[in-house]
Amino acid sequence: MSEPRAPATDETGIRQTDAIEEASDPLKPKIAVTLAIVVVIAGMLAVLQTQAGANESTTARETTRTAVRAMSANVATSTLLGVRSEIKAEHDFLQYRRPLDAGAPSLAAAAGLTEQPGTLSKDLQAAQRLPTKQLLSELGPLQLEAEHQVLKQQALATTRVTWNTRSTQYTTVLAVLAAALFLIGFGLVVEGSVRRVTYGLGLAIAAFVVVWGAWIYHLPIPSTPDNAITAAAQGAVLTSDGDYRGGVAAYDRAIAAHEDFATAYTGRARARLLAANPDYPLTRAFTDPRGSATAAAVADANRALELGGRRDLLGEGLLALVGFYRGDYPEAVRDADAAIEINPGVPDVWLLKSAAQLALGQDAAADASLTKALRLLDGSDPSQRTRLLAASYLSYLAAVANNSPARAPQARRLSTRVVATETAFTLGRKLPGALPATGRIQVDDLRFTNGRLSLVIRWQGLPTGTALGAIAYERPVANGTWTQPPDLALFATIGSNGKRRISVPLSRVCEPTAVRADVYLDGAPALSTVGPGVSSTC
Amino acid sequence: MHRVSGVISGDDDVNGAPAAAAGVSVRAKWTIAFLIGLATVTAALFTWRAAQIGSTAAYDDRQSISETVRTEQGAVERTIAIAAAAREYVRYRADYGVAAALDREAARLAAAGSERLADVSRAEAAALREGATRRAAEAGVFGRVTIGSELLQPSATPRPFDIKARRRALEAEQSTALDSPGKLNPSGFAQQADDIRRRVNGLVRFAFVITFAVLLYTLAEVSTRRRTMAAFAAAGIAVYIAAVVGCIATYFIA
Repeated sequence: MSEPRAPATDETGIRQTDAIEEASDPLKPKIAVTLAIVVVIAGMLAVLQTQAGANESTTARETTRTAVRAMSANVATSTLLGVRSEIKAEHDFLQYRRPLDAGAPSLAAAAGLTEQPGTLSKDLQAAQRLPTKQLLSELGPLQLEAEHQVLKQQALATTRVTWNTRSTQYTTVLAVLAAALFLIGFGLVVEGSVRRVTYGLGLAIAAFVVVWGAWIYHLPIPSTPDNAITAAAQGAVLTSDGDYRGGVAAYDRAIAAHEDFATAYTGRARARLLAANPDYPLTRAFTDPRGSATAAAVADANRALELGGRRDLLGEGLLALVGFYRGDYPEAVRDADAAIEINPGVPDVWLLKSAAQLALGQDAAADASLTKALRLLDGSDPSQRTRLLAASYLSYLAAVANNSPARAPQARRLSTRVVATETAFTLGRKLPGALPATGRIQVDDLRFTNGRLSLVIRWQGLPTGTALGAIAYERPVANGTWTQPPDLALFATIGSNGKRRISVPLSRVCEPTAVRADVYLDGAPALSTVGPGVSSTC
Repeated sequence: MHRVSGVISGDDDVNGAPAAAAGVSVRAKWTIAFLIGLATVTAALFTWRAAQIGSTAAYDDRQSISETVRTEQGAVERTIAIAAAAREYVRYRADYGVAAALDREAARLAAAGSERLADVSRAEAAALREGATRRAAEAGVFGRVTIGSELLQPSATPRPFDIKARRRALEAEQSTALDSPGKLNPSGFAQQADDIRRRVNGLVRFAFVITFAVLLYTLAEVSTRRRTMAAFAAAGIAVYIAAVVGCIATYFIA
């Protein structure tokens, strides 16, 4: 046996036999080139990842800045709206100041002078010329700015989240590509069949990564054009100012500029619904549940929910409301449940659900939903908001009584519960819940004429401290559903004998064809009187 | 000059014989390997630079947000101050409206011969104007110095209130106050951050271009023909130099 001969080495120290073996494997150069190509792919992915990260940082900053601007504009808007209310209050109060108060004794009368007719009203008009427009000149642009910034912030937040996701996706792709890089590189140092296996596996992973990266790259980044945001902001301002048709037109422009703009669809749904039921904000009157505009509003709400991943409480609430007034109570309950799932802390939705459950004959569930709504109001003070909630619920119950006469007694039971609760809440004391043992009460001259609702409440022999709750309803469509306008409610403590004359102006698109007054004493129903209205204007 | 005798080529022998015409020398191989390393280090350098200036962008973002908050805070404070002044001005105007009505009442009483009652109305109107003027001054609707003698002798007609002028005055007061944050420029910081991010993207793109040089060098490394190797190596060097010069000229140094 001869000793193995030491392999020859060249000047660089590389064993010549190894060099021959290595050079003889035709796969090795291919692996080296593949490795370089994978590095190029990694470089490309790194560029995309860096871009996504940079865009995420930029949009994150702009989202925060826009949120700050939105908050600032909203605070400024609320402040100026407060000023508007105070200017109105000051304007209205002038008629009670001397010498502008027509009912108060004047020096002229004391001197035995007879004022020329109209003198006082001219003086009042002159005094009431307050510089409202000048002082509130910034209000309109501020409202628009606030809406614009809020919508922009929402749009930017969506874009930011997408960039963030995109950046993470590229990082994941790069991590997988690192595995491919390792396997291919490993193929350079191992030999034989292991080399082929690792190389093949690395190649397969690299190919997969290329396809994956390309797929991620082609996914769109959501962005909302500024003109769409501006138009939607105009729509929101016009709608809140009561110009519903103008609002619909503005939202049309927003949707034309960006057809997947969920917020614009929700806004247009609301504006369309209000255009079809123009008294709803004032009186809760839902006069057009089956019209084409309401149908279009429903379509918009559905589209908005589809685009927004069914996370819009307003959209679900709108569908529940339309379903309820169309008499589709199961649908109303379903949509209310969907809204509750988004935010269970909104009493409005619980009240609507309660009314729909009542219409379906689910009395216990209706009671439970009402209780839930009332619990949500624990700790609050009597306010316009609580009155609005009570008025809405009483209007729902009136609709149930009208559409399902068999459910009317249960609707009355819940109406009594709500009025008793509201009376106690407003007067700040517990009520017996039963009619006083003595005395009587009546409503006279109940009518709606010449744009005014008038009635006289008279009582005799009532115990001192009797709680009075008087709730007025109106019927906007002849033989239609009653509705309970939030402004038409009176809560007072009365006793002995007395009367209260009420005459209030009502400005309605659909003027009442009939009016009704329900009177409660100590939280128990005492009487219900119906009076005439005018011919139907809707 | 040192002569490399070894060749690595499927076509050539390994016994130190002169390389075939198309063969590639070991020294060339080592040179290419060095170039690959150099390109890799350069790409790493560009990436490091990108990360370094990226942190400055984050700082500018923070500054931009912080200054936006201060700017908007100032705007809200101005609006609240103007709203308060507007409220008080409305009360002032309402009082002047009532005072005017009292004056008209006095005129009617005087015309009817009830001079004493007319005096009562006039006095009431004067008191109302004086009270309204003092209250408006105390509430900051009008500066005490600005209205001067009107505090003693209120004018018969209401003073105007220019809401735009008041806003400008408040802006000036805020910017010249002792605790004023100075000239805020949130959009400037945002612009700087955006510029830096453009540079970061540029640096990473040039690093990516350099990986092409690595690919070309690798092709040169595995080439068995000298001419092919030289061509790939030259292309790689060209790409590398272009990337380095381009990057240094544009993004590497601000």
